[in-house]
Amino acid sequence: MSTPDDSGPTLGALLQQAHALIDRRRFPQARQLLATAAQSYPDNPKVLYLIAFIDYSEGKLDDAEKTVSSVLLQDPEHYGGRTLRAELHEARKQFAQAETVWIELLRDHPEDADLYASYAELMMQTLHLDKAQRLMQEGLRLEPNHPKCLYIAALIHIIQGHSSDSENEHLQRLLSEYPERVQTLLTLVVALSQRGDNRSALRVAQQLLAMRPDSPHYLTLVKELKLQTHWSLLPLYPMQRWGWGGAGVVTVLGIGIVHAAKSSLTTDLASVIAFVWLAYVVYSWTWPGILRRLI
Amino acid sequence: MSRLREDLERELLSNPFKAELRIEYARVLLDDGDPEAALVQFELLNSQSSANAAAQVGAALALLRMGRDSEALQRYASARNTPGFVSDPTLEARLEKAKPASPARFTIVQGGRSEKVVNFAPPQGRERIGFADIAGLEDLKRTVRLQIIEPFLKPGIFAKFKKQAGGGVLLYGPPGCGKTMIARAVATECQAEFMSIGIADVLSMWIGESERNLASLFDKARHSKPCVLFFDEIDALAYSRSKAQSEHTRQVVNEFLAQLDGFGADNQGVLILAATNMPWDVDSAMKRPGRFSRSVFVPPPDAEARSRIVELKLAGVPHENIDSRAIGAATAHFSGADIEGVVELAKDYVLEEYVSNSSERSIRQEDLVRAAKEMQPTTLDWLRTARNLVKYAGADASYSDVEKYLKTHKLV
Repeated sequence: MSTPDDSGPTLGALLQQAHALIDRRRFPQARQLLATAAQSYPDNPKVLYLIAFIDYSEGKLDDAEKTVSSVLLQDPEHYGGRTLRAELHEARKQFAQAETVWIELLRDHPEDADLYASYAELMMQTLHLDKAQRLMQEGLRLEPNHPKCLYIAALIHIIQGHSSDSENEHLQRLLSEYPERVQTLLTLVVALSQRGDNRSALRVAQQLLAMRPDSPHYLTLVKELKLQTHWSLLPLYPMQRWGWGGAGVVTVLGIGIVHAAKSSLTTDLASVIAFVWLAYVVYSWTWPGILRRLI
Repeated sequence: MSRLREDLERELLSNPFKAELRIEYARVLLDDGDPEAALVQFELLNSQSSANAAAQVGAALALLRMGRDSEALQRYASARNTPGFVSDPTLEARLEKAKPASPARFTIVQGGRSEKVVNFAPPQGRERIGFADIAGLEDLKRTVRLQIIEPFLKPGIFAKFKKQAGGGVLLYGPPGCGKTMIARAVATECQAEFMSIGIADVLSMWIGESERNLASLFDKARHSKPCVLFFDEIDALAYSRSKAQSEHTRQVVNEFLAQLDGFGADNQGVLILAATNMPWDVDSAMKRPGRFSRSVFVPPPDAEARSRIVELKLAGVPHENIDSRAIGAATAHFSGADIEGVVELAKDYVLEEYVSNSSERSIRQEDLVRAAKEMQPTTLDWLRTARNLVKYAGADASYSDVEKYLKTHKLV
């Protein structure tokens, strides 16, 4: 940690302003401010950490890694620096290294619900759902309304395939405590989509995009849901709702109908049915791709 | 009672957009003695639809239960102008008691300090800019005159036709397209003093003194009537609370809202304008009646404006046979700042030639054409983001001008 005299009024004010700018996602202005601070306090871990955080937020992982190393060189116990290092490992898909950092952090801060949530998120990503769930139980025991813990717990509930989302008490709590948070809306999209209610999921995803219209992730989400809810894809509902299982049932059913028509109807009528079936197969293979380009 | 609350939560989960259900839920929360949670729900409804009188009255009641009386009364007063308003006896009685509204609000906030916390001096050394000085943009000028200047200069005629004239106006659009210049021109056309609050002033507001700073700012505007109070980059001050991570950011927005509402009671002679490149980052509560309920899209300059800007930037610089109209036509979507960049680049070409060949010449048409081809308009990123909003996010009516612009220019 930095020494007390580091936090003199000038540096304190600069850091506060930089924090405020980062909170408003005004990264270039925050970077400029921190560059000024770095001239007077070149090795200050608080300044360096914020610079690294901006690099990470802007996707400059190499720069962020270098600056985080400087932060931890100055102050090996720096909380922000260590969490950022774990997140950098995750961004590079170095999950084992990330796990080591989270475990070390939890050893030093055993009552920090935020750390349990971050570690559980990693476990969820690597599909260690039982471990993620146990971590969340501990996180929520420490802070019952911790938004990130509720978010992860709600997602685990959905991933584990619990069908009724009215039983998802974490999602209910997110909706009642933090209804406008991005994490709540994202969880709601997943829950609604899993339930097959793509129209409602689309409306929530549109709310997300309205909050961050420059986000390619939300744009893709909205486009995908628009595609799923397009009227021209209605005949493909079984495939959309039940995936490969639905596709298998439709195929077997279609072939069965064509065979039945051949044996019990006139040749002309059977040919029409076979042609309709063939057209349906071609449509199911080609149209979604064409529509995706059109949307 | 708690069983009912759980039932409603379950129903809301299945149908999150049913306003009646959410109102019922928020009222149950209020009856259960949880005004904070109720306020969150009422605010959510207000953000989904600004004309929901029941949600606004509900929010006022929640604020009252939380002991935030003055905010509650301001919210209730603004709810009265909303269609479908049903009065609440408790709030009516409180409002009646509170009359007349105390104009000394800002003195109280200052804690009796006579000196101003921040001295917002008017910009020095800048000549006054009028509409005549702004090239092109005739449609925008007409809109601004009708929506901003005339209601300010002749409030009587607008009141007679029951046209909304009060509250602030939000100017939004891509960067470098003259929002600040329009605001300055509005001040000139209104024959008013121009007070501009930029990002630097806002930054100083974040250092623990925001409440006093904001109060002193509005106080100064009141004492400088007639005056145009202009907030540049309003998204920095009124950043969307649902996106903010820190409690402090949310507090600053709350304070700003409270000051705006308090100011609304006595704003004769003061016009509040704000500008932003990122209207989607501005807190939705800012766009309610009495605050920044009217918004004006400031588009990139049209072809005529672009050719005028080229002429202005070339004034006093050696040039020959320049067809500014052709340059205007070749720089579609370029902002004023971009066109300045084109002229600067053309100058670089000429100087480069001079340095390598020692042959001096003027700027020619081909220099400008080459520079225009080399540069990309910076507005395109903004327009793409706006397209996402209009085409995919189901943007509300406040973005209809953007939609019109995008359609006209075949960008959507």
